[in-house]
Amino acid sequence: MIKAKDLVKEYKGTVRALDGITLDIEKGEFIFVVGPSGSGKSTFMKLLTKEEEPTGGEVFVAGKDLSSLPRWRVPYLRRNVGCVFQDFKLLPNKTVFENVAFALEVIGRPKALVQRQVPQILELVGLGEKLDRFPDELSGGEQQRVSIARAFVNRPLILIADEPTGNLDPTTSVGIMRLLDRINRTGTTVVMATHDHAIVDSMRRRVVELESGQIVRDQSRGIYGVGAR
Amino acid sequence: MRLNYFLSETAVNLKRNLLMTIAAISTVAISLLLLGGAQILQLVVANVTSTWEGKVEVSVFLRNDITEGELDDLRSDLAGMQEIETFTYVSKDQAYEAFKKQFADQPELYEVLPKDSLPASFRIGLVDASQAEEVAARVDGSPGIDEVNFGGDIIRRLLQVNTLLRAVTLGMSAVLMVAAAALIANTIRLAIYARREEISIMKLVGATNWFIRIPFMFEGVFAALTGAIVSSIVVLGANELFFSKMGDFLVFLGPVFSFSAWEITKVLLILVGGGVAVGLFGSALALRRFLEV
Repeated sequence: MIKAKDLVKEYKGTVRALDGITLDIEKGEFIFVVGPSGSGKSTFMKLLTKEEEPTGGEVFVAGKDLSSLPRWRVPYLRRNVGCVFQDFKLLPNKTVFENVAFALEVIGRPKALVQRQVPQILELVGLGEKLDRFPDELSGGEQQRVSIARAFVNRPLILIADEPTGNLDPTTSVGIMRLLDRINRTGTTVVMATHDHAIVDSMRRRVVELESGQIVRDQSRGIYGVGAR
Repeated sequence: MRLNYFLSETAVNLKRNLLMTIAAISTVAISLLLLGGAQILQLVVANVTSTWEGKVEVSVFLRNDITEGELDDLRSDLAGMQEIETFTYVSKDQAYEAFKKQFADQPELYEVLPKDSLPASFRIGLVDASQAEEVAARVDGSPGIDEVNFGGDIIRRLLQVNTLLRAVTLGMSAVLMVAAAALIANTIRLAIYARREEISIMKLVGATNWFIRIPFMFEGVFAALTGAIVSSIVVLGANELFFSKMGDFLVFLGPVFSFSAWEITKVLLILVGGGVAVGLFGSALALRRFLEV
């Protein structure tokens, strides 16, 4: 589903954010990308949606070579890759329903489908009763659920989550992880960057650890890491 | 449903920057008014030249000492020239009579004039007024001729003035149109800035570039078209209320300021076309520079 080969990303001023990443992620996998801040987690995620271009190496997402993907095809790539962020990125002047519906409307989905799918997905994330609330009327956990609903409403093949629990307390985080786990069980590949030890240790999924832009560990059913504890 | 979406987005954008939108619309309107003015001027000059061209004649003034033979030669030369439609001989007496008639209410003018002071002449009517200069030049060399005049001079000067005026108006219009495009671009930039969060989410979930751009393009074209409509209304109003009444004030201005419906329609089409062009140009400028997609 995701294949990276010798991936290098340099930012201006000789900072090497990624230094030769080779990684294979199968369809339906749930994978944690861990490591300290600045280890290259976010940069790796940004390369997967072609938000950034690699300096060297190759990356394939959903069977497509991103380096040869023309710019105008990028939106279609992103329809297959849902994204969730630490800061939710919800539109404050739109309701919960509208925030999720927006993601379908702007890719030209018909109104009837929007009316049917949005309540369904909000039911799935446990917000079936709060369709008409605005983001600032919700708790952090609820806002993250809205953002996950928005990322998943189009049934993408891959869900990318960059520190989705970074702003949440541990109890709320557990709820979010359950939700991501459920989404993973529908066959969606989930890639999650985090430095939350407790979550990684309790889930026991594949763990890829980055340090200074290099993979220092790739372990199935792993934990966050002995050294970091 | 798509069109609905684009239109409602456009409306929101326009309302959000009302003042900026109004500034853009007025600049478009003023620049197009100048463009329209240049077109009207062109029509006026066309009317003037077509009215005057029929009256262009070449006057060949003869020397007092011209011989009968020279006169006959000249007469047969003129008869042989294809460019000449008609010609008449005006004797010294006839010239004096004509002068007297022209200034009948100012006897002091012709009373001081000796009877034989006006030269005899040939008055030549042309098949095509634009050949006046050529005919004049050909006749000029013949013996017994004092001077050759033709009205083409006035027309040529008028055309020169027209070219200059047109260049100035069109130049000003062009400068203002660039300013209008820049204002439109700026209006759109503000709209893009106000919606940057939405735009980033649209990109995130895979909205196509055109889907993101179209509401902003609509905004630019709407502002420009509104400006075009305003200037069109002014041109139409001026034609109805002013140009078509010119003949009532000064009779000779009547035909000069009368334009056919098609001529006016053409001017309006130019204005609307210019407006759309300005709008598209301004939008493209803004989207290229301020909307990285």
